[in-house]
Amino acid sequence: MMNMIKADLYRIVRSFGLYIGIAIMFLMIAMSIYLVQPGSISMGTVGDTSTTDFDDTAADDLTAGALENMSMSDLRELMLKSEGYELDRDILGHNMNLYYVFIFVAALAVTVDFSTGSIKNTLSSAISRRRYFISKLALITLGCLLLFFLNTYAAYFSNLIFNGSKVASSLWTVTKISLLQLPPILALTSILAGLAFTLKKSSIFNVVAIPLVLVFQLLFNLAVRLFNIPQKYVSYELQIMLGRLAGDPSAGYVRNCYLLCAGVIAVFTLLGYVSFRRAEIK
Amino acid sequence: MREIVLQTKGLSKKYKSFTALDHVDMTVYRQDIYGLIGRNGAGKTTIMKVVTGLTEGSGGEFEIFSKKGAAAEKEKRRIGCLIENPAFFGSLTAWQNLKYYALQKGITDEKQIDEALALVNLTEVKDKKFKKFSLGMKQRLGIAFAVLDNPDLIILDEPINGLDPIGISELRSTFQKLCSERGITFIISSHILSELYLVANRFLIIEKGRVLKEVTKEELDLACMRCLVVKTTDTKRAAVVLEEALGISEYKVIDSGELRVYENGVKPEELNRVLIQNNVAVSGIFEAGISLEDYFKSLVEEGSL
Repeated sequence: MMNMIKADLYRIVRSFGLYIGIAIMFLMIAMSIYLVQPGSISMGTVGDTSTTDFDDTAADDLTAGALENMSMSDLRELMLKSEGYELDRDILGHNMNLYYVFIFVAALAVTVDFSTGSIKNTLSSAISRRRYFISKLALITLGCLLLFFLNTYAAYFSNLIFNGSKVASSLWTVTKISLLQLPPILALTSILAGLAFTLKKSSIFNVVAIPLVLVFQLLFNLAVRLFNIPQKYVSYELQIMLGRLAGDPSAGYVRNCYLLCAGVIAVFTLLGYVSFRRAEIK
Repeated sequence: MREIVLQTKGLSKKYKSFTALDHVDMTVYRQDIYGLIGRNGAGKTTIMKVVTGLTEGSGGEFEIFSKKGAAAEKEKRRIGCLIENPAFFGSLTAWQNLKYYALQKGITDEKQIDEALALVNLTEVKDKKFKKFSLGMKQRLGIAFAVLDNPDLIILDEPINGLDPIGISELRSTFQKLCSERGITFIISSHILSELYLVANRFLIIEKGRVLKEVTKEELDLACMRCLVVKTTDTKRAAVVLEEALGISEYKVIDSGELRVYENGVKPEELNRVLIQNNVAVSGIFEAGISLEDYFKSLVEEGSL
C-alpha cells in the first residue's frame, strides 16, 4: 500500500492539476483576507452560517445601498473597524468551499487512472483490487486533510499578518475548530471517493461532482419549504454543519453531527468499494 | 515433466447476450512463447483479461504457477503484461511513467528502468512526454513496462501493432533472447499469423470464444505441408472419383474450381490420369503447401459447422 501511495505522490506532484487546486484555495484565502469577509461558493444557505457576532459600531454605514457603492478598499476599512469579529473563525465556517478543491484530489488520485487506462497496468501485475481501493482511499483522505489544515493555518497566519489581531482569534481556537470539523470534512472526502470509484471516468465524475453540492442544496431548500422540515434537522446539512461547528456548538449537536458523518462515510465508502470490486476494467 | 506456468480448464466468460469465452482449455509451459491466434473479437484479449484479473470469468478455472484463487492473486507479481492499447500518463515522460510503475512494484534500482527502455530502443526519447509518442513508440513503452521487473511470465496483447518491419524484427529477437537467456515465458496474441509463426513455439487457435486447436509449431508445420491442388470446374464429380476410384479421403473442396488432396503418396500424374478417365475436366494439377492463413481459414470453417 505504501508503494502505491509513493507512486501516486510521485505522479501527482508532477501534475498541473494539483497546483491549480492549491492556487484556487490560496486565491479564496487572499480574497477573504483582503475583503475581511469569507467568500463562499453556494446558492445561499438554508440557515444562518455566520459564526461570530460583531459589534455594529459601523452599522450605520452598512446599508445595502452604501455597501453596493463601496470600493473593495473602503469595504476592507469598514470591516477592520468592527469589534469582536474573528475573520479566521468565519473563514473556517465557510470551509464548504474546500469541496471544490477536494474534487481535484479525487480526480488526480482515481479518475485519471480510469480515464488514461493506466489502471489496467496496475491491477494486472502489481496489486489486488482491495489494496488498490484502500491505497487510493488513503491517498484521497490524506490529500484532502493536508489541504484542509493548510487552508486553516494559511488563513489564520495571513489574517494575523495582514489584518492584525483585532480580527483574529487564537491559534488554539482555529486548531480546536479544525479538529471539530474533521468528521464533516472526512464525510466530504468519502463522498468524493465513493463517486470517483463509482463513476470512474474523469469527464463523468466532473459533470456530477462539480454541481453536486449546489444541486443538493437546491433540492434540500425545496424540500425544507415544501415539507416544513424543522430547523433542527436543517442544521445537519453539511455546509451548515461546518458553519455551526466553527461557532460554539453544543455537545449534543457535535455528537449528532459525528454520528451522521460516520454514517455518510460508511455509505459512500461501501458504495465506492462495491462499485469497483467487480467492475470490468476496460 | 515441464513446469506449467498457466493452465485453464473450461474457462468461460459471458456478457449479457454474448459469450466471449466458451470452455477454453489451454496449457502454457515454462519458456514457451505461446501464440494466441484469432480474428478480431475471437476472445484472445478476454483470456488475457481473465487471467490477469481485469475481469472475472463466468465459469471454469485457471492456475498460475500452479496456484489458483486467492493464492494466484499473489502470483500476479510475477507477471508483466500489456493488454490492449498501451496506457500511460500523457504529461509524464517515458522514463517518469516507468518510474511510477517501478515505485508501485517496489523497484528501487533505477537501472532497471534504463535497461527496460534500452531493450525496446527508447533510450533516446526517454525524456519525451508520452502524449508526443507515435503509436509504435507507445507500443514499445508498453513492452518496456511489461519487462520492467524481470517477470517470469509476460503477456502481450498484439504487441506488434504500429511497429515498422525493422521494429517487428527487433522485437522478435528480443522475445527470443529473453526467453532463452532469462527463462521468461511469453503469451502473445496477434491476428497476423505469419509474424506469430516466426516467434512462437506453441499456438492456441481461437474463434468466437471457442478453442479450435492447440498445436505445437511442429504440428502446425505438418498441417500446412504439401498438398496436391486440383483445378477443375466439376469438383463434385472429382470428389466422388477421389473417394471411389482412388480411395482418397484426405482432401478438401476449397471452392467451386479447386480441391486439395493432402494424402501422402499420391502422384500428380496418376491423379490426373484417373480423373480424366472418369470424365473430370482438369485444368491444372500442381503441388503446393497450405499457407497459415488457409490453414486458419479451414479450421474456422470446420469450427463453424
